[in-house]
Amino acid sequence: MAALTRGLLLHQMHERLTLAGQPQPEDWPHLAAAGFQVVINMRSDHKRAAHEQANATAAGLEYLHLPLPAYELEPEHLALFHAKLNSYGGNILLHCRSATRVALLWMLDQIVYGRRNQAEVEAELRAAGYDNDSLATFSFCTEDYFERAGAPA
Amino acid sequence: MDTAYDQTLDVKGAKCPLPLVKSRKAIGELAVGQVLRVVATDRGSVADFQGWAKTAKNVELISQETGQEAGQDLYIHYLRRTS
Repeated sequence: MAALTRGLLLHQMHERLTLAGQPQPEDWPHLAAAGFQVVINMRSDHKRAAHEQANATAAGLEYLHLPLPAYELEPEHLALFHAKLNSYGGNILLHCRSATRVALLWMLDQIVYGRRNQAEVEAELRAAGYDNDSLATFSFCTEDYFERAGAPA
Repeated sequence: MDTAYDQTLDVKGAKCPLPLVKSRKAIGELAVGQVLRVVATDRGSVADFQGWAKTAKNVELISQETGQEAGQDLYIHYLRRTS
């Protein structure tokens, strides 16, 4: 991925999933050349997403706009996220503005659907390059989610 | 003209989506009609608060301002609880 635009935040979680910040228009061909096949955009701006979709599909990438309210996630949002994330076969670039929202969704997905321990998922995010501030954000928002949705079984 | 408010929430240094999650919790503790002033340093909070106000059922975004503190840009949001 050395050819990617400098400054694009990339956190590879496993060989088929990378969490990212906002790609720039010139990044799309490089992302396709780096082996990505699918882009999922979780930002809420529909106008920006339409421009982005045109650039990404022109570069040969499959594109999905999936804006979810990260400030008030409900179980149905998480269910939709899980279904979409698992509906693609190729290498996925999952992005928002700063790669934080997407990591929160991924963390909740791993705890709820992957039935994984929160500390284990946090360690994986840290290993992928997320700092203490980001992890504190995920922890606060995860606690908020489970307060409202109920703790995982 | 200064916007009147009832409570301030300091989310300086907090990353998305933390300013919104904390604001949602804080506004839930206000009485209907009261105003929350949120002070953030995240530039993206400007669009984030606009997006939240469009979809939230109990929040009105009254105004947004920018400021400076110790060389740092501040993004200040005024939100009213509507129900």
